[in-house]
Amino acid sequence: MKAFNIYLTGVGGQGIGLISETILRAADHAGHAVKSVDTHGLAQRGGIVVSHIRLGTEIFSPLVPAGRADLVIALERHEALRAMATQLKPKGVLVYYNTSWQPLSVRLNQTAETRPAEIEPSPGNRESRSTRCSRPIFPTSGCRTWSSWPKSAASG
Amino acid sequence: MKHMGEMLLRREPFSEIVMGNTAIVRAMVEAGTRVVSSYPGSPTPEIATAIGTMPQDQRPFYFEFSTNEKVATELAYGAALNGHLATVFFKSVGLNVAADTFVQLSLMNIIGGMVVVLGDDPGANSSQNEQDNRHYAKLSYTPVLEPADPAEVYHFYREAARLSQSLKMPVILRLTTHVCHAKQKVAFGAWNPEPRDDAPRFDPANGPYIPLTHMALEQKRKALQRLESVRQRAEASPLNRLVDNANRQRGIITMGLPFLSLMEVVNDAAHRPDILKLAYVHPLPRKTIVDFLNHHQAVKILEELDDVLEVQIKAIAFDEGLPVKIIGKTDLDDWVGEYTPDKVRQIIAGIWPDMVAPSTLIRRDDPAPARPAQLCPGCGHRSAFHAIKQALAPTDITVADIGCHTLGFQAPYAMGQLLMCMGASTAMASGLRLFNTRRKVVAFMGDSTFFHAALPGIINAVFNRHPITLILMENGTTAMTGHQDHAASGRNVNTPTDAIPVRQVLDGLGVKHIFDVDTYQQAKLTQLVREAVAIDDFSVVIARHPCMLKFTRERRKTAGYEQRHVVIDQTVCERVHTCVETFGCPTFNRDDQGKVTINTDLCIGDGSCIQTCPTQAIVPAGKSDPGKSNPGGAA
Repeated sequence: MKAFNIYLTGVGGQGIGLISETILRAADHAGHAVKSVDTHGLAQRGGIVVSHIRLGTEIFSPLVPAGRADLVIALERHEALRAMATQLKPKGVLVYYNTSWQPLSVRLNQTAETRPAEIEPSPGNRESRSTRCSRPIFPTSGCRTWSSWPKSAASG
Repeated sequence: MKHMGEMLLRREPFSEIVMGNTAIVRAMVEAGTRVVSSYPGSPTPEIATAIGTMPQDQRPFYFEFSTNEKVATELAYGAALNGHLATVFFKSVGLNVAADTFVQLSLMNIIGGMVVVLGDDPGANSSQNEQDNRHYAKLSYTPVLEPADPAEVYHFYREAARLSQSLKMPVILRLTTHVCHAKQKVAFGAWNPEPRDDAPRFDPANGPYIPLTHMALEQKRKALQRLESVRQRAEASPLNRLVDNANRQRGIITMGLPFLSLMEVVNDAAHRPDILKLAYVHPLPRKTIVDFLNHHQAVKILEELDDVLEVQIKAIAFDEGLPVKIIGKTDLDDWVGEYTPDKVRQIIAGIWPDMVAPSTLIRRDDPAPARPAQLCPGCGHRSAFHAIKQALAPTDITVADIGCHTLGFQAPYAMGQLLMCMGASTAMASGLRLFNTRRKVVAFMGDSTFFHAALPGIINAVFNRHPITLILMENGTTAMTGHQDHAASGRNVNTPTDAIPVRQVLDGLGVKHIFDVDTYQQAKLTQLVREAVAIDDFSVVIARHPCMLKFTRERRKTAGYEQRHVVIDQTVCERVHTCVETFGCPTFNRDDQGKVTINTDLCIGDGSCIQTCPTQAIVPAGKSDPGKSNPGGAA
C-alpha cells in the first residue's frame, strides 16, 4: 500500500486520543507500517484535538498533508465541516458523529451553528462521501451514508 | 500492548509503537541514567507520564518534579557531580528560567554526564513564543543533537548520554512538539543493568567548579576545546544521513522534523535533490558540510525557525572560497511557524518549482467557526472571572500569568489583558501602577506558578510597597500541563509530603491584607475584590477552588458515581442569556431562536452557574425537568 491517511478530529475531552490509539494498534496488528501524531495545543478541554494516522511504506512525516486525507473521522459537526473542507481529499470518506459542541462564537451569537446540510455533499460541490452517525458511533448501524458519486467508485 | 511500565523495564530487546516522549524513557533506562528532574511543560510532560508507569521501587533512577526549571537543572547538575548520569527535561521557554544555571554548565567538569532535554515548540502550539533554543547552545558552548522521529529520539539520547559521559560536558537533546508526540514502532535494545556504585564521588579536584576571575576564562577555554572534540565526533557520526539521489546540481541541508516533511514533498518529484540531514546541529560537522557543498551547484538550507545553520554554512563556504550558491531563507514567512509538509512544499515550490507537483499545492479555506480553547465546565476560574469583573471598572488593568487562567483574556471575560511568562504578573502590575492613581491594577497568578517564579515579584511588591491587588487562583494542582502536584498539593511525584500553605507563605512574607474565598461564592468574591483594590497597599485575594477536571475525573473512578447536570427550566427562562454570554460555560448551547439548552455530555452538574441566572431558570436535573432538554446529544 502506498499510503492511506486517516485524519481524526473533535473537541478536547471527546476521546480522540483513545480512538487514535486503537486504530493505530489495529493497523499495526494487521501488519501495516503506520505512523501517527496527536496535535492538541493547550492540553485542555474545549479546543480542537486532531490525530493524524498514516498507513503505508512510503510515509515520512507523521502529519497528513492538507487535502490528502483518505478518511476523516470527526466526532463533532463543526469539526466535521472544518476537516472536510481542509483535509479530505477528493473522493475521500467522511464519517462524523452528528452532535454539536458549540464553539465560543456560536454561543456568543456571533456566527451561525454548522448544520448537517452543510456537510452532506451534493453533486458538484465535493466529490466525497459522508456518513452521519447518531449514537452509538460504533457499530455503525446508526449511520446514514450520502454519496455524490457512483457506488461503483466507492469500492475503488 | 503490555503495560508500559513492564515494557520500559524489560531486559530483552523488543519493538513497540511508542511516542517520542516514551522512547526517551526507555533510552534513559538502557543508558543507566540515575537522576531525572523536570518542571512540567508541553510538549514534554508525557515523559513524566511514562516514567510514572514504572513502579517506584523498580524505577532504575530517581525522578522528581522540581519547583521550576532552574531548580531542576541545579538538582541534575549536583547529582552528576557525584558521578550519576543525570537528565533534566522541560519545555522551550523553561530554558529561559534555567538559563542562569544552564549557561555555566559547559564550564564544568560534569563527571557523571548530563543530558538536557528541550521540548522546543515551532508553531507555538502551547507556548508564548517559538524561540529557537539552538541560540542558547551557541552562547553556552553546548553540543546539540536533534532527532526527527521516535526511533531517533531513542538512539540520539543514547548518543547524547555517551558523549556527555565521555567528555564530561552537558549535551542538549533538542526535541520539537511533533517529535515528542509522534508515534511509530521503535526497535529497542536490551537492558543489562550494571551494578550500581552510589558512592558520592564529588571531589573539588575534578573541577574547578568555581567560575571566578581567571578560572572562568580557563574553564571557557576548556569548554571550547571540548566543543572541538565534539565536532570531530560529529564528522564521523553515522547519525548524520546522506540521501544520495545522484543529483549534482541541487542539494538540501536540513535537520530534525523538517527532514521528514522534505522527504514527503520530494518523494513524488521526478528530480529529487540530494539531502544531507544533520544529527549533530551544534557544533556543525564542518568537513561533512564542505564535502556536500563541493558536490553541488546550489544548496538550499532548510531549517525551521531561525537561520542558525544558514549563517554558519555561508560562513564556511566563504572561508573555503566555495563557488556553490547557497539559498537560505527568502522571506519572513520562512522564519515563522512549524515546517510541516505543507509549509515545506510551499518553500521548495518557491525556489525549485519543478520539484513539486502543482497538483499537490493545496490551499483550502476553513469555513467553520474558530474553536479557541476554553475553561472547562465547572472551572473555578470561570466563577472567579465572572465575579471579579463585577468588582472592577472597565478602565482598570488586569494582568495575566501563565496557566489555565490565562484563557480569561478571551471573550466574554476579557480578564488578564497582558501576559509575559511564569510569575511575571505581580511585578508588571507594580510597574503599571507607577504614576497611576486612576486605574486600579490587578494581577492574576496560579498556585503552581506561585512557587515556580512568583515569589520575587511578590516580595518586591511588599518590599517596595506597590499598591496593587494579586488574585491567587488556587486550584491545588498544575492543571494546564496535566495535573502535576506542586508544593501546596500535599504530595510530590513520589510520596505524600507536607503541603506548603500559600496563605502562610504570604503571611510570612509580610503581606498585610490577605483575603480568602472559594470562587463558587461569587458574590463574596466580588465583595472581597472591591475591598482589596480599595486598600492603598499590596493586597492578595486567594480565590480558591479545586480543578474540576481533575476532581471529576477522580470522582468518575469511584463506585456509585452518577453523572449530574443542570437543566434550563424553559417555563422560567426569559432568554436574558447571562449564562451563555456573560458566564460563558461551554455547556450552554443556544439555538437560532435564542433558546438555551444544556449539553449534557459537557455539564458536570457543579451548579456554579445557578447563581448567575437572574430568573432562576437553571436548576439541577431531576428537580423540575428530568433531563428532557438534551440537544447536546446526537440529533
